[in-house]
Amino acid sequence: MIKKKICMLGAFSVGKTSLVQQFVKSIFSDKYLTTVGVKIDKKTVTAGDRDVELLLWDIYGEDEFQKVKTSYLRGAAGYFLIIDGTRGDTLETAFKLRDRTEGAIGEVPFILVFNKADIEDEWEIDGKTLEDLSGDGFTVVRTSAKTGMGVEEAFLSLTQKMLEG
Amino acid sequence: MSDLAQPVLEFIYDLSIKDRSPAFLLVKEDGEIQDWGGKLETYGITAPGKGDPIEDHVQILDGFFPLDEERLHLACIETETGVSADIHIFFTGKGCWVLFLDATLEEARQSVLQQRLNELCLLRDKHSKLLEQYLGKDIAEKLVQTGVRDAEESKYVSVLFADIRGFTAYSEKKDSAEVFKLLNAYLAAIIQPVLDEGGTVDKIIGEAVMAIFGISSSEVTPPLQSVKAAFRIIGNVQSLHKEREAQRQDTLEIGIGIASGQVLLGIMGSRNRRTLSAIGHSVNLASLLESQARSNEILIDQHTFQKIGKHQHRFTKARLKLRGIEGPLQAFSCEFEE
Repeated sequence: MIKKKICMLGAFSVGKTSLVQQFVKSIFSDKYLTTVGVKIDKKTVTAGDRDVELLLWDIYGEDEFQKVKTSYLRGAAGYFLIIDGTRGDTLETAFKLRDRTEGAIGEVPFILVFNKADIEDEWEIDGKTLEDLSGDGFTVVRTSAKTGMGVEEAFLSLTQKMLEG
Repeated sequence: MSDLAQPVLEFIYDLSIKDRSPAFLLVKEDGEIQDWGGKLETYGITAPGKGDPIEDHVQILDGFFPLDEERLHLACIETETGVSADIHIFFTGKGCWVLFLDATLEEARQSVLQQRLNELCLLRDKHSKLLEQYLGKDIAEKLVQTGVRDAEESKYVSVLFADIRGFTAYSEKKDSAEVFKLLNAYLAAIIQPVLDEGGTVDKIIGEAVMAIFGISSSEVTPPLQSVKAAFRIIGNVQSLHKEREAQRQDTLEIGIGIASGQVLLGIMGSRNRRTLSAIGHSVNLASLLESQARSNEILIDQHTFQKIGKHQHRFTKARLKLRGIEGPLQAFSCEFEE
Protein backbone atom coordinates (compact mmCIF):
# COMPACT_ATOMS: atom_id res chain seq x y z
CA MET A 1 0.00 0.00 0.00
CA ILE A 2 1.15 3.54 -0.70
CA LYS A 3 2.15 5.40 2.46
CA LYS A 4 2.26 9.17 2.76
CA LYS A 5 3.35 11.37 5.64
CA ILE A 6 1.32 14.52 6.18
CA CYS A 7 2.31 17.27 8.64
CA MET A 8 -0.21 19.49 10.39
CA LEU A 9 1.34 22.92 10.75
CA GLY A 10 0.09 26.18 12.21
CA ALA A 11 0.04 28.53 15.17
CA PHE A 12 -1.04 27.23 18.56
CA SER A 13 -4.74 26.66 19.19
CA VAL A 14 -5.82 26.77 15.54
CA GLY A 15 -7.31 23.27 15.73
CA LYS A 16 -4.64 20.96 14.28
CA THR A 17 -5.28 18.18 16.80
CA SER A 18 -9.04 18.64 16.56
CA LEU A 19 -8.94 18.28 12.77
CA VAL A 20 -6.97 15.03 13.03
CA GLN A 21 -9.30 13.72 15.72
CA GLN A 22 -12.34 14.60 13.63
CA PHE A 23 -10.85 13.00 10.52
CA VAL A 24 -9.55 9.82 12.16
CA LYS A 25 -12.04 9.23 14.97
CA SER A 26 -14.98 11.51 14.14
CA ILE A 27 -14.77 13.08 17.59
CA PHE A 28 -14.47 16.66 18.81
CA SER A 29 -13.83 18.16 22.21
CA ASP A 30 -14.41 21.82 23.08
CA LYS A 31 -11.66 21.68 25.69
CA TYR A 32 -8.40 23.11 24.42
CA LEU A 33 -5.44 20.85 25.17
CA THR A 34 -2.09 21.94 23.90
CA THR A 35 0.09 19.47 22.00
CA VAL A 36 3.66 18.95 23.16
CA GLY A 37 5.99 17.39 20.61
CA VAL A 38 4.25 15.25 18.01
CA LYS A 39 1.19 13.03 18.09
CA ILE A 40 0.93 10.52 15.30
CA ASP A 41 -2.20 9.00 13.82
CA LYS A 42 -2.92 6.84 10.81
CA LYS A 43 -5.83 6.54 8.46
CA THR A 44 -6.28 4.73 5.18
CA VAL A 45 -8.19 6.55 2.47
CA THR A 46 -9.11 5.67 -1.06
CA ALA A 47 -8.17 8.15 -3.72
CA GLY A 48 -9.32 7.15 -7.17
CA ASP A 49 -8.79 3.41 -7.13
CA ARG A 50 -5.81 3.45 -4.82
CA ASP A 51 -5.66 2.87 -1.08
CA VAL A 52 -3.30 5.25 0.64
CA GLU A 53 -2.18 5.00 4.25
CA LEU A 54 -1.82 8.49 5.66
CA LEU A 55 0.61 8.98 8.53
CA LEU A 56 -0.55 12.16 10.19
CA TRP A 57 2.04 14.15 12.15
CA ASP A 58 0.21 16.51 14.45
CA ILE A 59 3.05 18.85 15.39
CA TYR A 60 2.97 21.30 18.33
CA GLY A 61 1.76 24.77 17.46
CA GLU A 62 4.12 27.60 16.80
CA ASP A 63 4.11 30.53 19.20
CA GLU A 64 6.30 33.55 19.81
CA PHE A 65 8.64 31.55 22.06
CA GLN A 66 8.68 28.23 20.26
CA LYS A 67 9.38 27.68 16.57
CA VAL A 68 8.53 24.43 14.85
CA LYS A 69 11.71 22.45 14.21
CA THR A 70 12.03 21.53 10.56
CA SER A 71 13.54 18.13 11.42
CA TYR A 72 9.99 16.90 12.06
CA LEU A 73 9.14 17.57 8.43
CA ARG A 74 11.57 15.04 6.95
CA GLY A 75 9.86 12.57 4.69
CA ALA A 76 6.61 14.56 4.46
CA ALA A 77 4.80 14.15 1.15
CA GLY A 78 2.39 17.00 1.91
CA TYR A 79 1.24 19.33 4.65
CA PHE A 80 -1.62 21.43 5.88
CA LEU A 81 -1.23 25.02 6.98
CA ILE A 82 -3.98 25.51 9.52
CA ILE A 83 -5.37 28.97 10.18
CA ASP A 84 -7.85 30.02 12.85
CA GLY A 85 -10.30 32.30 11.03
CA THR A 86 -11.01 34.17 14.27
CA ARG A 87 -7.32 35.12 14.68
CA GLY A 88 -5.90 37.08 11.76
CA ASP A 89 -2.28 36.69 12.87
CA THR A 90 -2.46 32.91 12.43
CA LEU A 91 -2.47 33.45 8.64
CA GLU A 92 0.86 35.23 8.94
CA THR A 93 2.24 32.34 11.03
CA ALA A 94 1.02 29.90 8.37
CA PHE A 95 2.98 31.67 5.64
CA LYS A 96 6.11 31.82 7.78
CA LEU A 97 5.79 28.07 8.28
CA ARG A 98 5.28 27.58 4.54
CA ASP A 99 8.56 29.42 3.85
CA ARG A 100 10.48 27.40 6.43
CA THR A 101 8.97 24.13 5.20
CA GLU A 102 9.93 24.84 1.60
CA GLY A 103 13.41 25.75 2.79
CA ALA A 104 13.70 22.41 4.59
CA ILE A 105 12.02 19.86 2.31
CA GLY A 106 11.41 21.75 -0.92
CA GLU A 107 8.10 22.19 -2.70
CA VAL A 108 5.59 19.54 -1.75
CA PRO A 109 1.80 19.85 -1.97
CA PHE A 110 0.05 21.82 0.75
CA ILE A 111 -3.39 23.20 1.48
CA LEU A 112 -4.46 26.31 3.40
CA VAL A 113 -7.09 25.23 5.89
CA PHE A 114 -9.22 27.97 7.44
CA ASN A 115 -10.64 26.30 10.51
CA LYS A 116 -13.46 27.23 12.93
CA ALA A 117 -15.98 27.78 10.14
CA ASP A 118 -18.77 27.03 12.63
CA ILE A 119 -18.15 30.49 14.15
CA GLU A 120 -17.54 32.34 10.90
CA ASP A 121 -19.39 35.41 12.22
CA GLU A 122 -16.47 35.86 14.65
CA TRP A 123 -13.80 35.65 11.95
CA GLU A 124 -11.22 38.37 11.57
CA ILE A 125 -10.29 37.02 8.16
CA ASP A 126 -12.84 38.03 5.55
CA GLY A 127 -14.13 36.18 2.53
CA LYS A 128 -12.22 38.43 0.17
CA THR A 129 -8.88 37.36 1.66
CA LEU A 130 -9.82 33.73 0.97
CA GLU A 131 -10.91 34.60 -2.57
CA ASP A 132 -7.67 36.50 -3.18
CA LEU A 133 -5.63 33.54 -1.95
CA SER A 134 -7.56 31.19 -4.24
CA GLY A 135 -7.01 33.67 -7.06
CA ASP A 136 -3.28 33.57 -6.32
CA GLY A 137 -3.32 29.82 -6.92
CA PHE A 138 -3.46 28.53 -3.36
CA THR A 139 -5.76 25.67 -2.50
CA VAL A 140 -8.03 27.03 0.21
CA VAL A 141 -10.45 24.98 2.29
CA ARG A 142 -12.88 26.10 5.00
CA THR A 143 -13.27 23.56 7.78
CA SER A 144 -14.90 23.08 11.11
CA ALA A 145 -13.29 20.45 13.29
CA LYS A 146 -16.37 20.84 15.49
CA THR A 147 -19.04 19.99 12.92
CA GLY A 148 -16.78 18.05 10.55
CA MET A 149 -17.48 20.46 7.71
CA GLY A 150 -14.81 20.31 5.00
CA VAL A 151 -12.51 18.01 7.00
CA GLU A 152 -12.76 14.84 4.90
CA GLU A 153 -12.64 16.96 1.76
CA ALA A 154 -9.41 18.64 2.89
CA PHE A 155 -7.62 15.34 3.55
CA LEU A 156 -8.83 13.76 0.32
CA SER A 157 -7.86 16.82 -1.64
CA LEU A 158 -4.32 16.77 -0.24
CA THR A 159 -4.05 13.02 -0.84
CA GLN A 160 -5.00 13.56 -4.46
CA LYS A 161 -2.43 16.33 -4.81
CA MET A 162 0.28 14.12 -3.28
CA LEU A 163 -0.51 11.29 -5.70
CA GLU A 164 -0.44 13.68 -8.63
CA GLY A 165 2.73 15.37 -7.36
CA MET B 1 36.08 11.02 26.51
CA SER B 2 34.91 12.36 29.85
CA ASP B 3 37.45 12.40 32.68
CA LEU B 4 34.67 11.70 35.15
CA ALA B 5 35.22 8.68 37.34
CA GLN B 6 33.15 5.56 36.62
CA PRO B 7 31.08 5.88 39.85
CA VAL B 8 30.16 9.44 38.88
CA LEU B 9 29.13 8.36 35.40
CA GLU B 10 27.09 5.54 36.90
CA PHE B 11 25.44 7.97 39.29
CA ILE B 12 24.55 10.32 36.42
CA TYR B 13 23.17 7.36 34.49
CA ASP B 14 21.02 6.28 37.45
CA LEU B 15 19.88 9.85 38.00
CA SER B 16 18.89 10.85 34.53
CA ILE B 17 18.78 7.92 32.13
CA LYS B 18 17.97 4.68 33.93
CA ASP B 19 14.29 5.42 34.46
CA ARG B 20 13.83 6.61 30.89
CA SER B 21 13.90 3.12 29.33
CA PRO B 22 16.89 3.70 27.06
CA ALA B 23 16.98 1.66 23.86
CA PHE B 24 18.91 1.87 20.62
CA LEU B 25 19.16 0.73 17.07
CA LEU B 26 22.42 0.86 15.15
CA VAL B 27 21.79 1.34 11.45
CA LYS B 28 23.74 1.88 8.25
CA GLU B 29 23.53 5.23 6.49
CA ASP B 30 20.52 4.08 4.48
CA GLY B 31 18.70 2.90 7.61
CA GLU B 32 19.50 -0.84 7.42
CA ILE B 33 19.49 -2.28 10.94
CA GLN B 34 22.82 -3.65 12.17
CA ASP B 35 22.41 -4.01 15.90
CA TRP B 36 20.01 -3.17 18.74
CA GLY B 37 19.64 -3.13 22.49
CA GLY B 38 17.81 -1.79 25.54
CA LYS B 39 14.09 -1.68 26.19
CA LEU B 40 12.94 -1.49 22.58
CA GLU B 41 9.56 -3.05 23.43
CA THR B 42 8.69 0.15 25.35
CA TYR B 43 8.49 1.87 21.99
CA GLY B 44 6.69 -0.94 20.19
CA ILE B 45 9.83 -2.25 18.46
CA THR B 46 9.78 -6.03 18.48
CA ALA B 47 12.02 -8.62 16.89
CA PRO B 48 14.23 -6.43 14.72
CA GLY B 49 16.43 -8.39 12.35
CA LYS B 50 19.85 -7.61 10.95
CA GLY B 51 19.44 -6.09 7.49
CA ASP B 52 15.81 -4.99 8.05
CA PRO B 53 14.99 -1.45 6.92
CA ILE B 54 14.40 0.71 10.02
CA GLU B 55 10.98 1.90 8.79
CA ASP B 56 9.71 -1.72 8.98
CA HIS B 57 10.06 -1.45 12.76
CA VAL B 58 9.85 2.28 13.39
CA GLN B 59 7.29 3.62 10.97
CA ILE B 60 7.65 7.19 12.19
CA LEU B 61 11.21 7.24 10.86
CA ASP B 62 10.05 6.46 7.33
CA GLY B 63 11.75 8.91 5.00
CA PHE B 64 14.43 9.99 7.51
CA PHE B 65 17.32 7.99 6.01
CA PRO B 66 19.84 8.69 4.59
CA LEU B 67 20.29 11.54 7.01
CA ASP B 68 21.78 14.89 5.93
CA GLU B 69 22.63 16.12 9.40
CA GLU B 70 25.36 14.90 11.75
CA ARG B 71 22.77 14.54 14.49
CA LEU B 72 19.06 14.97 14.90
CA HIS B 73 16.79 15.29 17.91
CA LEU B 74 13.06 14.62 17.73
CA ALA B 75 11.52 15.64 21.04
CA CYS B 76 8.42 14.08 22.59
CA ILE B 77 7.33 11.93 19.67
CA GLU B 78 4.44 9.58 20.26
CA THR B 79 5.54 6.04 19.44
CA GLU B 80 3.51 3.00 18.38
CA THR B 81 2.78 2.09 21.99
CA GLY B 82 1.61 5.60 22.82
CA VAL B 83 4.75 6.24 24.89
CA SER B 84 6.27 9.64 24.26
CA ALA B 85 9.93 9.36 23.29
CA ASP B 86 12.89 11.60 22.72
CA ILE B 87 14.66 10.23 19.67
CA HIS B 88 18.30 11.16 19.17
CA ILE B 89 20.04 10.18 15.95
CA PHE B 90 23.83 10.56 15.72
CA PHE B 91 26.79 9.15 13.84
CA THR B 92 29.97 7.48 15.09
CA GLY B 93 32.56 5.45 13.26
CA LYS B 94 30.39 2.35 13.79
CA GLY B 95 27.39 3.79 12.00
CA CYS B 96 24.26 5.72 12.80
CA TRP B 97 22.78 5.34 16.27
CA VAL B 98 19.10 5.83 16.93
CA LEU B 99 18.58 6.32 20.65
CA PHE B 100 15.16 6.21 22.31
CA LEU B 101 14.48 7.73 25.73
CA ASP B 102 11.11 7.76 27.44
CA ALA B 103 9.91 11.40 27.53
CA THR B 104 6.56 10.85 29.28
CA LEU B 105 7.51 12.86 32.38
CA GLU B 106 9.10 15.64 30.38
CA GLU B 107 6.03 15.83 28.14
CA ALA B 108 3.71 16.05 31.15
CA ARG B 109 5.82 18.80 32.70
CA GLN B 110 6.02 20.78 29.46
CA SER B 111 2.37 20.24 28.81
CA VAL B 112 1.34 22.06 32.01
CA LEU B 113 3.59 25.02 31.26
CA GLN B 114 2.70 25.21 27.57
CA GLN B 115 -1.02 24.95 28.28
CA ARG B 116 -0.83 27.89 30.71
CA LEU B 117 1.28 29.92 28.34
CA ASN B 118 -1.04 29.35 25.39
CA GLU B 119 -4.16 30.08 27.41
CA LEU B 120 -2.55 33.25 28.68
CA CYS B 121 -1.62 34.32 25.13
CA LEU B 122 -5.21 33.69 23.97
CA LEU B 123 -6.57 35.72 26.88
CA ARG B 124 -4.10 38.51 26.24
CA ASP B 125 -5.21 38.64 22.58
CA LYS B 126 -8.86 38.72 23.60
CA HIS B 127 -8.16 41.47 26.07
CA SER B 128 -6.30 43.61 23.59
CA LYS B 129 -9.10 43.11 21.05
CA LEU B 130 -11.57 44.25 23.67
CA LEU B 131 -9.55 47.37 24.35
CA GLU B 132 -9.15 48.09 20.67
CA GLN B 133 -12.84 47.54 20.09
CA TYR B 134 -13.90 49.99 22.75
CA LEU B 135 -11.04 52.45 22.80
CA GLY B 136 -9.44 52.35 19.37
CA LYS B 137 -10.40 53.99 16.12
CA ASP B 138 -14.07 53.10 16.61
CA ILE B 139 -14.44 55.68 19.35
CA ALA B 140 -12.68 58.36 17.37
CA GLU B 141 -14.88 57.65 14.32
CA LYS B 142 -18.01 57.61 16.44
CA LEU B 143 -17.05 60.91 18.01
CA VAL B 144 -16.35 62.53 14.67
CA GLN B 145 -19.77 61.38 13.43
CA THR B 146 -21.50 62.75 16.50
CA GLY B 147 -19.93 66.17 16.22
CA VAL B 148 -17.02 66.11 18.65
CA ARG B 149 -14.05 67.42 16.73
CA ASP B 150 -10.37 67.59 17.46
CA ALA B 151 -10.91 70.93 19.18
CA GLU B 152 -12.44 70.51 22.60
CA GLU B 153 -16.06 71.34 23.14
CA SER B 154 -18.38 71.42 26.09
CA LYS B 155 -21.11 68.82 26.41
CA TYR B 156 -23.60 67.75 29.06
CA VAL B 157 -22.80 64.16 29.97
CA SER B 158 -23.03 61.62 32.75
CA VAL B 159 -19.80 59.97 33.80
CA LEU B 160 -19.83 56.50 35.34
CA PHE B 161 -16.97 54.83 37.15
CA ALA B 162 -17.21 51.15 38.07
CA ASP B 163 -14.44 49.53 40.07
CA ILE B 164 -13.86 45.90 40.95
CA ARG B 165 -13.21 45.82 44.69
CA GLY B 166 -10.28 43.84 46.09
CA PHE B 167 -8.94 43.03 42.66
CA THR B 168 -5.38 44.15 43.35
CA ALA B 169 -5.11 41.96 46.45
CA TYR B 170 -6.65 39.07 44.50
CA SER B 171 -4.26 39.48 41.57
CA GLU B 172 -1.25 39.28 43.90
CA LYS B 173 -2.35 35.88 45.21
CA LYS B 174 -3.37 34.19 41.98
CA ASP B 175 -1.60 33.19 38.81
CA SER B 176 -1.88 35.52 35.84
CA ALA B 177 -4.09 33.25 33.71
CA GLU B 178 -6.73 33.09 36.46
CA VAL B 179 -6.48 36.83 37.05
CA PHE B 180 -7.06 37.61 33.39
CA LYS B 181 -9.98 35.21 33.20
CA LEU B 182 -11.65 36.79 36.20
CA LEU B 183 -10.94 40.32 35.00
CA ASN B 184 -12.39 39.57 31.58
CA ALA B 185 -15.54 38.09 33.08
CA TYR B 186 -16.12 41.20 35.23
CA LEU B 187 -15.19 43.68 32.49
CA ALA B 188 -17.65 42.01 30.14
CA ALA B 189 -20.35 42.26 32.85
CA ILE B 190 -19.66 46.00 33.14
CA ILE B 191 -19.05 46.98 29.54
CA GLN B 192 -22.05 45.37 27.85
CA PRO B 193 -24.70 47.33 29.82
CA VAL B 194 -22.81 50.56 29.12
CA LEU B 195 -22.93 49.91 25.39
CA ASP B 196 -26.53 48.67 25.52
CA GLU B 197 -27.62 51.92 27.16
CA GLY B 198 -25.87 54.03 24.55
CA GLY B 199 -22.75 54.86 26.57
CA THR B 200 -19.14 54.96 25.46
CA VAL B 201 -16.45 53.12 27.35
CA ASP B 202 -13.81 55.78 27.67
CA LYS B 203 -11.10 54.02 29.60
CA ILE B 204 -10.34 50.70 31.20
CA ILE B 205 -7.75 51.42 33.87
CA GLY B 206 -6.68 48.11 35.35
CA GLU B 207 -9.81 46.88 37.10
CA ALA B 208 -11.87 50.09 36.73
CA VAL B 209 -14.06 51.22 33.84
CA MET B 210 -14.86 54.84 33.01
CA ALA B 211 -17.88 55.33 30.77
CA ILE B 212 -19.52 58.45 29.38
CA PHE B 213 -23.19 58.85 28.47
CA GLY B 214 -24.40 61.67 26.27
CA ILE B 215 -21.85 61.62 23.48
CA SER B 216 -24.15 59.88 21.03
CA SER B 217 -27.52 61.53 20.59
CA SER B 218 -30.37 59.74 22.32
CA GLU B 219 -33.93 60.41 23.38
CA VAL B 220 -33.00 59.24 26.86
CA THR B 221 -31.13 61.74 29.04
CA PRO B 222 -27.53 60.90 29.98
CA PRO B 223 -28.33 60.59 33.73
CA LEU B 224 -31.11 58.10 33.03
CA GLN B 225 -28.91 56.14 30.60
CA SER B 226 -26.11 55.95 33.15
CA VAL B 227 -28.32 54.89 36.07
CA LYS B 228 -30.07 52.23 33.99
CA ALA B 229 -26.65 50.94 32.92
CA ALA B 230 -25.54 50.89 36.58
CA PHE B 231 -28.57 48.81 37.62
CA ARG B 232 -27.84 46.36 34.84
CA ILE B 233 -24.14 46.18 35.76
CA ILE B 234 -25.03 45.25 39.35
CA GLY B 235 -27.53 42.69 38.03
CA ASN B 236 -24.88 41.20 35.71
CA VAL B 237 -22.31 40.99 38.49
CA GLN B 238 -24.81 39.28 40.79
CA SER B 239 -25.60 36.70 38.09
CA LEU B 240 -21.89 36.21 37.53
CA HIS B 241 -21.48 35.58 41.27
CA LYS B 242 -24.14 32.90 41.24
CA GLU B 243 -22.47 31.16 38.30
CA ARG B 244 -19.00 31.38 39.79
CA GLU B 245 -20.10 30.34 43.27
CA ALA B 246 -21.82 27.29 41.82
CA GLN B 247 -18.48 26.37 40.25
CA ARG B 248 -16.65 27.25 43.49
CA GLN B 249 -14.74 30.02 41.77
CA ASP B 250 -13.63 33.28 43.37
CA THR B 251 -15.93 36.29 43.24
CA LEU B 252 -15.34 40.01 43.69
CA GLU B 253 -17.62 42.98 44.38
CA ILE B 254 -18.02 46.22 42.51
CA GLY B 255 -18.81 49.80 43.45
CA ILE B 256 -20.19 52.48 41.10
CA GLY B 257 -20.09 56.29 41.11
CA ILE B 258 -22.01 58.57 38.71
CA ALA B 259 -21.96 62.35 38.25
CA SER B 260 -23.52 64.56 35.58
CA GLY B 261 -22.68 67.98 34.19
CA GLN B 262 -20.83 69.92 31.53
CA VAL B 263 -17.43 68.51 30.59
CA LEU B 264 -14.87 69.40 27.95
CA LEU B 265 -14.65 66.66 25.36
CA GLY B 266 -11.93 66.32 22.81
CA ILE B 267 -10.01 63.82 20.77
CA MET B 268 -6.40 63.35 21.68
CA GLY B 269 -3.58 61.21 20.46
CA SER B 270 -1.97 60.41 17.14
CA ARG B 271 -3.82 59.83 13.90
CA ASN B 272 -3.73 56.07 14.27
CA ARG B 273 -4.65 55.98 17.90
CA ARG B 274 -7.07 58.74 18.73
CA THR B 275 -8.91 58.54 22.00
CA LEU B 276 -11.49 60.56 23.78
CA SER B 277 -10.52 62.91 26.55
CA ALA B 278 -13.10 64.24 29.00
CA ILE B 279 -12.16 66.95 31.47
CA GLY B 280 -14.35 68.52 34.09
CA HIS B 281 -15.69 68.53 37.63
CA SER B 282 -18.14 65.70 36.89
CA VAL B 283 -15.32 63.37 35.88
CA ASN B 284 -13.52 63.95 39.18
CA LEU B 285 -16.75 63.78 41.16
CA ALA B 286 -17.82 60.47 39.60
CA SER B 287 -14.41 59.03 40.43
CA LEU B 288 -14.63 60.27 44.04
CA LEU B 289 -18.15 58.85 44.43
CA GLU B 290 -17.00 55.51 43.11
CA SER B 291 -14.12 55.48 45.61
CA GLN B 292 -16.65 56.02 48.44
CA ALA B 293 -19.17 53.45 47.19
CA ARG B 294 -19.36 50.26 49.18
CA SER B 295 -19.62 46.85 47.53
CA ASN B 296 -22.79 46.60 45.45
CA GLU B 297 -23.56 50.29 45.98
CA ILE B 298 -24.31 52.97 43.39
CA LEU B 299 -23.56 56.52 44.52
CA ILE B 300 -24.85 59.37 42.33
CA ASP B 301 -24.59 63.14 42.58
CA GLN B 302 -27.51 65.58 42.88
CA HIS B 303 -27.52 66.52 39.16
CA THR B 304 -27.93 62.91 38.18
CA PHE B 305 -30.58 62.27 40.86
CA GLN B 306 -32.72 65.16 39.64
CA LYS B 307 -33.06 63.67 36.17
CA ILE B 308 -33.80 60.02 36.74
CA GLY B 309 -37.56 60.37 37.27
CA LYS B 310 -39.23 57.22 38.53
CA HIS B 311 -35.95 55.65 39.58
CA GLN B 312 -35.46 58.25 42.33
CA HIS B 313 -37.33 56.16 44.90
CA ARG B 314 -34.63 53.51 44.77
CA PHE B 315 -32.09 55.96 46.16
CA THR B 316 -31.66 57.30 49.68
CA LYS B 317 -29.87 60.49 50.71
CA ALA B 318 -26.23 60.19 51.73
CA ARG B 319 -24.06 63.04 52.96
CA LEU B 320 -20.44 62.47 52.11
CA LYS B 321 -17.19 64.17 52.98
CA LEU B 322 -15.06 63.89 49.90
CA ARG B 323 -11.39 64.62 49.54
CA GLY B 324 -10.79 67.89 47.69
CA ILE B 325 -14.41 69.04 48.02
CA GLU B 326 -15.32 71.65 50.61
CA GLY B 327 -18.09 70.78 53.07
CA PRO B 328 -20.29 67.71 53.01
CA LEU B 329 -21.67 66.70 49.64
CA GLN B 330 -25.26 65.69 49.04
CA ALA B 331 -25.22 62.36 47.24
CA PHE B 332 -27.74 59.56 46.76
CA SER B 333 -27.16 55.90 47.39
CA CYS B 334 -28.71 52.72 46.09
CA GLU B 335 -27.45 49.57 47.78
CA PHE B 336 -28.10 46.03 46.62
CA GLU B 337 -28.14 42.96 48.78
CA GLU B 338 -25.48 40.41 48.01
